Amino acid sequence: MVSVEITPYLDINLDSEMWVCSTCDGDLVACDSNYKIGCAVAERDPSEVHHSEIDSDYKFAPDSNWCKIIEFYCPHCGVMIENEYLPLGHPITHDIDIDIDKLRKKISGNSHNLRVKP
Amino acid sequence: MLDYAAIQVSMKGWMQTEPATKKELEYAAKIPPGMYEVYSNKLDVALDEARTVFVRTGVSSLLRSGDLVVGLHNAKGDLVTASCGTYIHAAIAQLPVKYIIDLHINGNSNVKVRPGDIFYTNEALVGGLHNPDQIAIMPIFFENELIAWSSAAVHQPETGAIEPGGMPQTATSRHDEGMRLTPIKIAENYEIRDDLMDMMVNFISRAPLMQEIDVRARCTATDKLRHRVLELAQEIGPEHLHGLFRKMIDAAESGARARISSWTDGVYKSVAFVDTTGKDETLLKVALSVHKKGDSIHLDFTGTSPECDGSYNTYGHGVAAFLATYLYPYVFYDLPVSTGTLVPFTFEVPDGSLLNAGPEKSVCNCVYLGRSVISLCFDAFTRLLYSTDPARAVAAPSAHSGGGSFKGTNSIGTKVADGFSFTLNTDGQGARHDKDGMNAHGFFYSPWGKTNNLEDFEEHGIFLGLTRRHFNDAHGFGKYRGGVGTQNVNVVLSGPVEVTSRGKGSRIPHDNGVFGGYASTSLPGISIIGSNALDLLKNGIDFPVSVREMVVDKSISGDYRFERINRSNRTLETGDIWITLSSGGGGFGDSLERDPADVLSDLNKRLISEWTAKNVYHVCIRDGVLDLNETSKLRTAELQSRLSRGTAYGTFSNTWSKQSPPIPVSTF
Ligand SMILES: [Zn+2]
Repeated sequence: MVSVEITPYLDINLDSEMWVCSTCDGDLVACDSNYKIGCAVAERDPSEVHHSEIDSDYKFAPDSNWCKIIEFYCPHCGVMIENEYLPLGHPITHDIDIDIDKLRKKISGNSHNLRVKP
Repeated sequence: MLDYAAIQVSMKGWMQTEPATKKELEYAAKIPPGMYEVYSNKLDVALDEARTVFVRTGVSSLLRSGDLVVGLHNAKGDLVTASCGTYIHAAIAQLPVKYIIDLHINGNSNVKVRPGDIFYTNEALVGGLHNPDQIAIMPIFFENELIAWSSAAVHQPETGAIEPGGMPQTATSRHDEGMRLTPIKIAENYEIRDDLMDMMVNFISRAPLMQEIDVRARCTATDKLRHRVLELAQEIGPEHLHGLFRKMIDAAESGARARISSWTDGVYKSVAFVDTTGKDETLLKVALSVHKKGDSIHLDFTGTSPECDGSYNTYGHGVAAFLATYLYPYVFYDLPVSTGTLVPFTFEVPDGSLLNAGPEKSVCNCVYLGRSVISLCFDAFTRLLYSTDPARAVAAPSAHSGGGSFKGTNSIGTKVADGFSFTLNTDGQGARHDKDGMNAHGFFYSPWGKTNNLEDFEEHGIFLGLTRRHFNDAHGFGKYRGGVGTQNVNVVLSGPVEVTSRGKGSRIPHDNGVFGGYASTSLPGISIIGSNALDLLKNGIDFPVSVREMVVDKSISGDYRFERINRSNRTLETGDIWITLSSGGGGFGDSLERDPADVLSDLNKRLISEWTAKNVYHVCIRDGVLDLNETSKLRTAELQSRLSRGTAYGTFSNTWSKQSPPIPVSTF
């Protein structure tokens, strides 16, 4: 079994062809799709994270009528894998789409610079 | 006749290096052992010297802070190497040089390029990003052969536009932007022409002396470099110099290709949102897909909103400039600043979009739109780089801090127009995979740029500085937090003074965190009109000078105004307080993984509040002491809360997609 580290929280397992949470080794979703599909997803008011302090249209936090923070957690252990600040209703970004065949080729080559778990 | 459409087409071709000639390749092959290493270094030293001369001979704030570039081009205009300053012109410095070559050497213009000429331009369509970017360009002749060009560019903080400061928030077309010169021959036979200098000074009548001195500074820098290049040509002969130039450009390209080859093939995406056109609130989108394949990269900006009717647009070549601003300091830090480095990159920038606006559009605030492009580059490239090169993975720096500018007359009657360079040049850097971002590290557009001293700023005799310090709780939180930005509070000493401030992101931030790190926060534009701060100072009465305390405590009397951060031109009177803020960089990684000791340290340094320690980091601190057991419980509880509030992607999408913001995202 070969797992390749793609982000601090995500590996791609080239045998099972799955995105895997690197914190708990739990499977998320097939590695040819958006890893966010395998996450637990929550919408948060920006002022839960940014101390708005003043009661005004313009404050020290993003406007919750304009945007929310979308948080993506590992559904098994709860680690936050990613978040996005998006206008309400805006489609989620498919931010990492690895060429799996090329990755496989790279791993099987003589020298590569990837971090691999056996 | 000036043909805007034709210029915009030509510019695309001019981004790439000109094909190598047979002669150049022959000369490059003949470079003897050691000459490349020694003489490429000598050229870089000559450039550094010219840049130093440039900084020391000019006067305006961005020039003095070092936010400039001196470039050396081969005879065909390609940038061989440069000394920065700002990397922003590194990708596009060759454009106006090639424009001059195309028109006045290869074309049928009646203007000829001769020894001793200096050309001068600030027309963004032919190079530069917006018309504050004034550029001097000098041909370098060796025994009547054109062997090279030198260029010197720096942002001028006054352009004769409809508002002071050269970047009017209310601009709606090029006609609001003031002076825009296609390249003119400002000097002939090594002398600057008085008539053309007068013409420029006449355009820039808010700050005439600054204009004249800084034009001379640009010309001096190009001439200084010319002298040094001629010395080297004398020393090794022009053939070796041609060969050296070729080798330097090719080495830059092969270095970039080797670096790119080592990365993981795939498609990496990011989106950013812009909540202002300059004059109005709006919701614009900038989208980037980075397609990495083999040794090349294609950047596709499809999905970006149409050009807007304000000033937050850019011309197509601006995109390469913004990319360079990310690439050179972070990824290509050890490669030459040369056109060659960017040859592996291709661009798809939709016509008529925000990023490829038509010639009539205003682009004077393009650098604020550019901040979104840069933020996207950090975001997408960090996702690309982490698997092979985590040390280069970094969250975006502060992207929406507000600089600004002012114009007034001080108590001794001198007219002054300049910028608030403090908040601008003290942005926070993005967090990295193993450390926090640097606090108040500088201006990401200009890594060498420095803020002016408070004393220098106060010397104008317009403002008294009340606070210059770190701004708490505004950076992006995470396992590693973004570098902290700054707060800058000034009271008017000698009113009336016209002020304007720039920026964006008061509704929606966009300098994302990465891998679960949060973005830095949104910022308001704050002023206190009719404040009694000067009276309090006179009577020795203390008051808080931290912005958050100031606006909550309100021990200074006056009318507290909260607006969006980009505030159009208005007049302040003596005693009014004007506040500028920068937010700090994005965070990296899950906040629950931040070392509790680092959270305590942040709190002790007043970089975060108790609110943030509790609500974001879930760390228990009692009377200044960490309770690690309780912290562990709090964090476990938060992991559980996440699992209970998190729903499956499909369920989430169903409810999420039915919501909408008050202004729809602008689309084609
Ligand atoms: Zn997990």
